[in-house]
Amino acid sequence: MLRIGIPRALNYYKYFSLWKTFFENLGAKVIFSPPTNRAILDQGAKYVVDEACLPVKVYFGHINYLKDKVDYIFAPRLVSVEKKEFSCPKFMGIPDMLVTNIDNLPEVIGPTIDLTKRDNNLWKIIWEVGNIFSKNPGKIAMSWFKGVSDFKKFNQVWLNKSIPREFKITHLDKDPGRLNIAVIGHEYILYDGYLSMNLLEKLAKLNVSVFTSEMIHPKMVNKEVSILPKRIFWNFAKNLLGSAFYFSKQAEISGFINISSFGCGPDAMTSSMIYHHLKTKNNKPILNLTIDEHTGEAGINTRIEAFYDLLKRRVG
Amino acid sequence: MILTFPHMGNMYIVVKGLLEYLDLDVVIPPFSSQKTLNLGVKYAPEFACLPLKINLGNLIEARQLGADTIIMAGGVGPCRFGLYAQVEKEILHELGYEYDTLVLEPPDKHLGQFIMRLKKIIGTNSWRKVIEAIKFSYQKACAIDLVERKVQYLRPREKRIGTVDIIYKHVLNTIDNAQSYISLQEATGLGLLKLEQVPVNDDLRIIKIGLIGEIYTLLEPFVNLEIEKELGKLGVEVTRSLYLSEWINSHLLMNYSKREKVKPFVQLAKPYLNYFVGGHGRETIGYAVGFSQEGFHGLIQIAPLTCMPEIVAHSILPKVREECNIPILTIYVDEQSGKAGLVTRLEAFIDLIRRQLENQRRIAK
Repeated sequence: MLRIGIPRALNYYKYFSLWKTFFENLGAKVIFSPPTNRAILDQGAKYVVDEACLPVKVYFGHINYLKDKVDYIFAPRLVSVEKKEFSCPKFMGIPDMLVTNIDNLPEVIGPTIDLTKRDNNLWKIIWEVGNIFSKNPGKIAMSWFKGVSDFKKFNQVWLNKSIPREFKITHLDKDPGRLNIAVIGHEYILYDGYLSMNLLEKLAKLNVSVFTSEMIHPKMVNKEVSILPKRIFWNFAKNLLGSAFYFSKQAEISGFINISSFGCGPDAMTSSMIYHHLKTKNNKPILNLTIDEHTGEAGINTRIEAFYDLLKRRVG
Repeated sequence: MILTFPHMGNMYIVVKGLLEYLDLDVVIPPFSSQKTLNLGVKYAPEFACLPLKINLGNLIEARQLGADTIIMAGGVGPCRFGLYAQVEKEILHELGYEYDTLVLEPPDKHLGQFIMRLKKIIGTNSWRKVIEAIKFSYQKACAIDLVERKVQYLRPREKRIGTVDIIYKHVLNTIDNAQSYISLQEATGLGLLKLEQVPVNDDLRIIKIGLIGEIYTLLEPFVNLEIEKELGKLGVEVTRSLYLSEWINSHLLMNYSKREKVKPFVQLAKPYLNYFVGGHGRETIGYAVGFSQEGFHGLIQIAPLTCMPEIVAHSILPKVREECNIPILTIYVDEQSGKAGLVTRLEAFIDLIRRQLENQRRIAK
C-alpha cells in the first residue's frame, strides 16, 4: 500500500478532510504528521530562510518529519481557489521551496491548483493526482466526490458555529451569560495549538465563546467585502476581513482578537483595514497578537487576561 | 486640481513629463528623505513593507505643498503593492487629507468608472494628445536608462570618484527640462558625450555584479542606501535586472512596445521556480541564472523586509548559487537599515569575490 504524507500545517486545517477521504478511497495510506511541537519548529527553521513567516517554517518541519516515513509527500501549489483571488506568494512557491531546500525528499506530489480564470482545469489535476494511485477513472471520480461530500460536512460544523472535533479544542457554545469574542486569524495559526499557544483553549477557560471567520458563510464574506472599492485579492485574508466586518455589526460580539504571524504580508494590510474599520464604524476594542518563534507564552497570557478584564468591565 | 504621485527613483521625470505635456498642474513631492520615512513610519501599519511607508510619507509631504489628486500604479495581486492605494487612502483620510485617487491598474469591475476618472484628470485634452504624451514620456524613460547604463559602466572606472555622478545629476536635469523630442535627443546625446569625456583607469580588474530583487528597492537610491554608488567605489560594475523603461513597458503599457514575446527569465527560472509568485520573484530567479550564464562574478539580491515574493526567491537562491557556482548576497532593507552596516557587508562580499578570482588565476597559472 502506498503511503502518502500530508504535513499538519498551512492548508491542512482547511482541506484535510477532502484530501484524507480522496486518497484513502484511492487505496493509499494517509499519514499525517503529529501536531506541531518544538522539535518540528526547530527543524523547519533550519531549512528555510529566517525571513519566512512562522507557519512556513513549521510546514518545513512537518515535511522533514514525514520525509523518511512515506512514499509520497502531498504539497500542492495552491495558487488560487476562487476567481481573481490568490492565496499568498509563499503558498505559490511552496513546492519549489521544498525541493530546493530539503535533500532526500520522497517524490513530491505538487499539483498547481490555479482557479483564477476558470475552474475546469480542476478535473485535469484530480485525474493527474489520482492516476498515481489508480488507473480506474471511475474510482478516481468516486473518491473525489466522496472527498467533496466529507469536506462539505466538515465545513458545516463550522457554519453551525462550532469547531470540528478533529482539532481537539474545547469550545463553548453560545450562552446568554458569556462574553463573545471574535478571533480573527488564519486557521493554520488558530487551530495549531503550538503556534497559537492554545489561544482558543485559554479563552474557553475564561468562559468566553469564540467566533472565528470559518463560521461565516463565504457568500456573507463576499457581501461584506464588496463595500470596499478595491478587491482584496488574497482569498484567505479576504475571509478574515469579511468576517471581521460581519462580526463588527453583531451586537453580541463585544471584542476582537487579531492573531497573525510576524512577516505575514496579507495580514499586514488587512489588519490595518480591520483596525480602521472598527475604529471609525463600531468602536469595538481589538487586541493584536503577533507571533514568531521568540514569542513567550507568559506575555500572551497577560495580554489575553487584561483584554478579558477590559471587556468584562465594558460589558458590565 | 493639482496632481501628485509617489517617488520611485527617476520615475518623477517620466510622470512629470507626461503630465506637463498635457498642461496639467503637478506637484512633485520632495525627494524621499529621513523626514519622509519618519512620517510614513509614524502613520503606516507597522508590518507593512517599506515602500508603502515611504509612499505614504511622499503623499503627506505633497499634500503640504498643495496637491489634491494622486496618480499611482496598482495591481491585482498577489503582491501587496496592489493594495497600497487602498490602504494609503484610508490612512490619509483618517489624517484629514482628502485626496482624489486615480490608480492605474487593470480595471476589475467598473471600467466605465475608471474611464470617467481618467477623463476628469485629463480634462479637455484629446485622447490623441494623451497617447502622444505617453509616447513622449516613455522616450524620456528610455533616455534615462540609456544614460544610467553608461553611468553604471563608468562608476568603477572613473579616475576621480564622484565625477560621473555630478554629470549624471546634471544630465537628468536636462532630460527633465526637455519639452520636445529634439531637446530630449539633444539632452541625451550631449549627456552621453560628456560622460564619455570622464577620465578613466583602463588597467583595473573590474568586478561585475548583477543587482536583482524587488523593483522599488532596486530603483530608489534613498531606500537601497545608494548601493550602486557604494559598489562603484569598490570597483564594481553594476547591472540591474530591472530598468525603469522596462517596468513601464511591461507593467503600465501592457508590453505595447515589446520586442520579444516570450519572456526569457521565465525559461531561465525553470527548474528552480516554476510558477509566478507575484511581484518580481520569478524575475529574481530568472535573472540570477541569466547573469551567472553571462559570466557575472556575483549577485546581490535586495528587497524590503517581509517582501513575500522575494522571500520565496531568497529561499530558492541557495540552489542557484550551488548549481551555477556564483556568490549571492541577500540584503533586506527597512526603516532601521544603516549605511555603515551595508558598506561593511558589501566590502566583505567584494573581498570574497576578489580573493576567489585571485585563487582561480593562480591555479590557472
